[in-house]
Amino acid sequence: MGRSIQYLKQYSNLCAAAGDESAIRDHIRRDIEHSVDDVTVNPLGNLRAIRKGKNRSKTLLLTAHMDEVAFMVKSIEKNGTIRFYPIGGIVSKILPGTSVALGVKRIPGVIGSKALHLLQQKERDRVSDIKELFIDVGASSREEVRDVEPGAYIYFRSAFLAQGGLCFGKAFDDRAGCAAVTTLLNRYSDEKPGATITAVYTAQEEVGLRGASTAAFDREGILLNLNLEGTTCADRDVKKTYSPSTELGEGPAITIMDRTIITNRKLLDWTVELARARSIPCQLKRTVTGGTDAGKIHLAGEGIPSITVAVPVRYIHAPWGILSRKDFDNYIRLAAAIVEEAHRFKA
Amino acid sequence: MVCSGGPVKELKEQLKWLCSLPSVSGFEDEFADRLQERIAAHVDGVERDRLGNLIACKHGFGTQPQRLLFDAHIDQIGLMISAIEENGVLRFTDIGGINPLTLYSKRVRLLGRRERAGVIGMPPPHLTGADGKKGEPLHELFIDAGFKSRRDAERSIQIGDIAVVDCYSDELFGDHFTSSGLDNKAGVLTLLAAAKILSQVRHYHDVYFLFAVQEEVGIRGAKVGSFSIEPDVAVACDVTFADPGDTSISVQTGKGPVLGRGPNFYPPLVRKFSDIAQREDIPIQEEIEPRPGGTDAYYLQVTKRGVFTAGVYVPLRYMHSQVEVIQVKDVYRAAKLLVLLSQEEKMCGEQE
Repeated sequence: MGRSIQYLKQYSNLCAAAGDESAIRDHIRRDIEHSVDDVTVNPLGNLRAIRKGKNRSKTLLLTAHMDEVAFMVKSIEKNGTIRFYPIGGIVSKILPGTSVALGVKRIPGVIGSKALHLLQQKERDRVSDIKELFIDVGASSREEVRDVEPGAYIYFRSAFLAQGGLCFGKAFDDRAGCAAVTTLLNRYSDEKPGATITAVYTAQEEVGLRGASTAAFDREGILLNLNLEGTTCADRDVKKTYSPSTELGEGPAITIMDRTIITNRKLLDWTVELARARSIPCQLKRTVTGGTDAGKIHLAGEGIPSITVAVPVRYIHAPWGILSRKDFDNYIRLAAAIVEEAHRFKA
Repeated sequence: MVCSGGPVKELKEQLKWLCSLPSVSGFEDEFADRLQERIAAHVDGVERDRLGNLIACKHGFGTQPQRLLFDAHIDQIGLMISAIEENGVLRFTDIGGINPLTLYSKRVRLLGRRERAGVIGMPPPHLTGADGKKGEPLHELFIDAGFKSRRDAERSIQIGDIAVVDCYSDELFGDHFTSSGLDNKAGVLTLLAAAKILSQVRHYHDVYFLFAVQEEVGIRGAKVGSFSIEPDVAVACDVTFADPGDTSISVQTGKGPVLGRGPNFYPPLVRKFSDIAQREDIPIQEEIEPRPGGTDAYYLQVTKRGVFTAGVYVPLRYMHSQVEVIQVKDVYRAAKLLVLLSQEEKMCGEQE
């Protein structure tokens, strides 16, 4: 298993949601410390690493967000069951029958679901709202619940699995990006990059691009922002209204437009041309839903050309996503090419 | 016999083992093989019948022993691959009743020629919009195991292969345990625990263990198994509903095994169990079943000339999901009830 996939495995197995990113942040810090000139954490929890380039006046801003979608304990009921809120966008219908881990001790629990035998006919295809669902940690009363308080974070439990050319796991949105940024920084542990690399692993993307809002405010001379993501891939679904978004195995996906940004056309063309010149397969993302950190960054200061390159992930924002190993490798190749050539880009 | 941490802890280990072995209805053979290895040491004889039932026998010391049958179905609900699409995704049907609402975004173990992992795919909120509020029926769902095409898929899977929803087996608070397949690995464990105790204590009656196949698809194994054993008294060991927060359910986990009450169960035998429980200080609960059905007791009762039948059930939350929850001490208590019954010379009288 290659180094970058190792990062993906380790990062995706960690639990870290908006406001609770320390586990992933500490881990990343250890992975990159030896390769960079400076590492700092800002009040939002962004981890910023700087690797000075040969050309100090030119800076490339590399970003990926650390947080994953998760839940938070809302209340512990008298009968010992736990009510909860989502943190980030989660479709409630995927939840009944899911294994979760609660609080810092990662107490195991399950999201209960009514037995088919007990369902009334009219309930059969009715999706429960998230506020009707509860978590069972095996307690029969509030007093029996230990080490779980209102406000505690709740995570999906899914251990990374490699099968054939695919990876199965949680949080590939956006641990894939984190793994890529770490891989790129570590390429320059000895040799300096062309342009200075400012890498920001952002906090709180899933709750409204909060970390990214503070990622670029004090940096002068940023040539461009390469935002590395994990994105929707609905190539197995039958609903033609949104399928396929991106396709697994067709290479990293480049965003033209989403709900937060219209990608700078010069940067888009330059990136596609670069991929073509280096024979790196890539695809354009065909849906315009969702948003990423680039939505905040491209409006920072006097504006920063920003592009999102994402690895397609089937079934994101759920306990089990699937990504293609080949896509992930090409994603890193394309990101590496952009890093190498960034100092030549002219907006 | 005292109920201490020792046997319960050992039972938990056994339960984890039982739950790790899939036994979908009609595909129980491998599981039955493993179970046979395990039970052989505790009994006088073991055999398999033509439907795949595993039957074990342990003779009693009584001068006029009766034939006492302890039954637990060994099959669990699962999925069967019904079609392979051109693009490599798998369509499936359920074996036994599964609520499709519990399947979205879950991981499955595909038990084809080579075991593979798959995911029951669901689009993310970015894409679904209003569809996120709508439940898809089973036939619209698909398993994505990463196959690129039908040809690719057919190298490891074919129509008719089975799958089970994968999940974590975990110990929860209050001695609770969660896993898939607890219906009816909890009942199987009840019999295993009873067999082990019976190998160490004297008991009056001849005890037959029927590990029955195909309950979930129509109570089939128990029908033929009971026919060949021809018991005088039969006890079905299964699970029953104990969901918290459901006002229609009074049974709770941890409050003891549940005795079925209703026409399916012979009142003097049920009373015998209550008496034993009271005498030995074993907590029990009761469940009213106005109509026979739902467990192997349905066929046990009407075997040949008729059989005095009872149901001893382990309370369970979230039945037929992959996150079923029980308390292992309820299993231990159920096993004790079975053992104590086998030691009673007079188990139950004729109908009053």
